[in-house]
Amino acid sequence: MLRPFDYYRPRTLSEAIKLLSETGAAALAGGTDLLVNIRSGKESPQVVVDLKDLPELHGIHLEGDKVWLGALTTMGEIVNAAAFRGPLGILSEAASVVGCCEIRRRATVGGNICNASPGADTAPALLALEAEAAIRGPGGARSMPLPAFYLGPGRTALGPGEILSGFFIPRPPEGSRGTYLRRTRVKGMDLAGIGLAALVIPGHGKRNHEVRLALGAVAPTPVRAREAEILLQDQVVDALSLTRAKEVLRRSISPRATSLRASPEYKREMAGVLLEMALSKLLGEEYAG
Amino acid sequence: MKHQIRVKVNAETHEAQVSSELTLLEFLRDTLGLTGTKMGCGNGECGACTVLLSGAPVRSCLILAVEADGQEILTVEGLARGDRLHPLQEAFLEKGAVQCGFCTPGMLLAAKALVDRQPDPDLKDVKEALGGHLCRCTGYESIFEAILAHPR
Repeated sequence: MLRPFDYYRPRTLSEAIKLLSETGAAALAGGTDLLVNIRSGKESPQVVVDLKDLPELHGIHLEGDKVWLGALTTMGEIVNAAAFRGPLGILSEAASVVGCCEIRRRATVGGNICNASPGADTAPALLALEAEAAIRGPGGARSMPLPAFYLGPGRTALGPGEILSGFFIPRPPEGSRGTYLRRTRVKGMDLAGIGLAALVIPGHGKRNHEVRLALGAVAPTPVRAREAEILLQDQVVDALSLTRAKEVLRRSISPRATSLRASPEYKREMAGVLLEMALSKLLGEEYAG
Repeated sequence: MKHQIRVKVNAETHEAQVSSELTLLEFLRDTLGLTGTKMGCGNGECGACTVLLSGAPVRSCLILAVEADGQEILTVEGLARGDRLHPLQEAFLEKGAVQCGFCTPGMLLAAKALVDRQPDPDLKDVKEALGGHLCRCTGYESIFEAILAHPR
């Protein structure tokens, strides 16, 4: 039995904002984190506000040169969406490893981000894609880059009554390729011990104009690895530049000593290994390392 | 807080008053008496509570009964047609894919969702579909065999 609460399923955004402005109110999307947290006592809301009927939080479509991704889009929908193939495929790769089929049917990308777990699988992909978080609330609409949305483990920039409505994702240039790699203790139904998203934006010849890297489960929030990126920018990736980038990546992360799924030493070592694997996968024969 | 819901479970329509915090699993087991669906971990990790909601497999321990309002649910009790077992159930018997049986209802429904979508799955598809289902008895091999061998 779950601790009693009141359930509301508002049909308008203004009604949802009003309900969520009250203390003790929690937003419900897929429920795969919230109901677990209520059962364990980690959260004990008096009011649960189901967001699934709000049209503003649904959908995947092009808006100018950006893709709109509604917060209520499930992991399964992302995996099957034509929009998330090619340059944006990194996100469907990340969504495809979340939980298992049954979890992916319910879990939403907005929930994955709002739960603010340092190891959320979709977060490194969205960080590498430089997604912007779109927020609706009592003060109207605002948006911010995803790094600003994350304040700490389980903490986001959402104020009382505010709702993450979705993401604006700039489409990387054609020819860009990304991948999300992670390490887990068992193959299926596990949380990431470490995850790494890499996006390569091609330049001229063998040089890459830009390499974007983001990691999960290595710091209090999912993080971009900008120092390592700089070493790979406008470079031919060879043994030397890769060794330097791996070293910088290892030093730039700060996994906590009490990590549940992997030791800090393992995470540091594996960050470098995943970087090398990702670049060799994305650059193939161009990669000279 | 109470809510009036209307759901179709195994092709039969039910109307009921449910509390906000009642899970779909509790509704199926305790309100309707359909105890084929099992409560394992209660955290969505083991798969024992899997049912089909509008045709897709979900964890009934992580869904509120009120969220399922207006939808169609299939539980293990709805697989057989009268005395005739579902071909997957026959295959599970044939291959001895059951020991204690606790995981079986969830396995069967996940397998049904798979073969409904993909009538001729390979081993990789089966492992993907059952990736979130724990079995502590069989070692899984007989379950994989049953699904791969089930009569179409």
